[in-house]
Amino acid sequence: MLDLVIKSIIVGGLAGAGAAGGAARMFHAPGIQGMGAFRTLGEMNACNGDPIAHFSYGLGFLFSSAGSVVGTGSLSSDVLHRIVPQWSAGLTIAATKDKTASNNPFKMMISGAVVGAAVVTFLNTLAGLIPSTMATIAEKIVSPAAELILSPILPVAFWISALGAGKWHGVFATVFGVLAQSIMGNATPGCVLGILVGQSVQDEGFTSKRSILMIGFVAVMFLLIAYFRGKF
Amino acid sequence: MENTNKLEKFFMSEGAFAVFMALICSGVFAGTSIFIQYHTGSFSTTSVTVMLSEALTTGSFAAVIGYTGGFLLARVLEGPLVGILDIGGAIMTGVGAGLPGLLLSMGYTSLVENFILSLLTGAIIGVVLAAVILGIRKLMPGGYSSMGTDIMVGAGNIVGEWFGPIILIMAAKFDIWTGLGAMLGAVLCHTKKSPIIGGAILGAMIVGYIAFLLGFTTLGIGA
Repeated sequence: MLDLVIKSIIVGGLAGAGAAGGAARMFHAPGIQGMGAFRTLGEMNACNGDPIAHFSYGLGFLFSSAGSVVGTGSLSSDVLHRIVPQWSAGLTIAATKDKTASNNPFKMMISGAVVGAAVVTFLNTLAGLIPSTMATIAEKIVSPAAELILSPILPVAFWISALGAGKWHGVFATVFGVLAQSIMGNATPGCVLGILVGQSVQDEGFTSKRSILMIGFVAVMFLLIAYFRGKF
Repeated sequence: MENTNKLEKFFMSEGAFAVFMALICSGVFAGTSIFIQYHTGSFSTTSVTVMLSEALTTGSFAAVIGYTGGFLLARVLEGPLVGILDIGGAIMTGVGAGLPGLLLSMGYTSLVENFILSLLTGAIIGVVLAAVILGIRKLMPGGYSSMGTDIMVGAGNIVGEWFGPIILIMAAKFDIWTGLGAMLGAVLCHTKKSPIIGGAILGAMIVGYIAFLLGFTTLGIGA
């Protein structure tokens, strides 16, 4: 248990510092490169520098992350997308009494290290301490649901989006999707690549440098995967 | 005070992006090392973590690598264009699941399984990705197209919408009490205008556990 706690503190501190510092830089993008997500930026703006709003928004996602970590061992993307940025913002603003302090990458990095270490350690050990019945319930419900998501819901969602996006998106998603299903056992990567290639062909035509590069990349990737899976 | 100002200025500079990338990638990559050892602590999204678990038991990493590789490529190309790197697709999924999967499938298991090495590997990956992204920013002329990201975000939203109701179905299929708990949690969340998935999972677990303790159901275990 001690080993897990120490590792969790290290990992949480590092990832938290990077995520929170990167989130602060989003306020200055595209002038400097930031990282996070557009939805994280929007959600941080929605809390508008109020520490209590930042804290309670993150807290809601702490519970759903606890469910995820018990069911699957995944902290869920909400830890770095929502809990760490929001709580770091709340902490930074509360500590400096400055509403705009969450835009400061250096201050956010320090808060993020503290928040990340605490949240990751809490989630990793909470999952270990939760009664096995609880874990069983989560496993019997969340795991089959996640499997259903993986296939067929995920590929179908990408397929529908590709077909709706335009002629070339739909064509490439269908070609690569079927190939991916038979070569990789899941159509999703094919549909994603189909959207990327379709967008490129629609924007710049078949003979543009980017389209040729992307189609070449996809072809090589499919051949490599087929080779590693022993398809020929 | 003088030193603090200097530090604050440095972390606002373009190059400091590499520092943040090294930090987050080191943490996320080593998080997967913890996941392999303790089956907890993966930073990847729930569905990708399930894929990684499958791959670790079957030894077939192609689906994980294929899926996450496409996302990583797309996000790294897109990040410099819009000024915000999506850490979900690029780091949690790509660096947290795809690259460990790739290294494991190539036989470099110690880079992932040894905790100290995994921290270093992650930091190096972060610096390399940052160099690529900052390099593209230097080269790229303005007005590049969106790589179809909006289409993929649309698909992601569809999946997000499906997850809640599917949890409800699975909860009700498993046991009447977990079903009722999930129902309660989802209704509470929905009336508070937050996503129902958190409430559904927690409700199923809490009500199911209480019903189990009170002897209303055996949940198919220890009967």
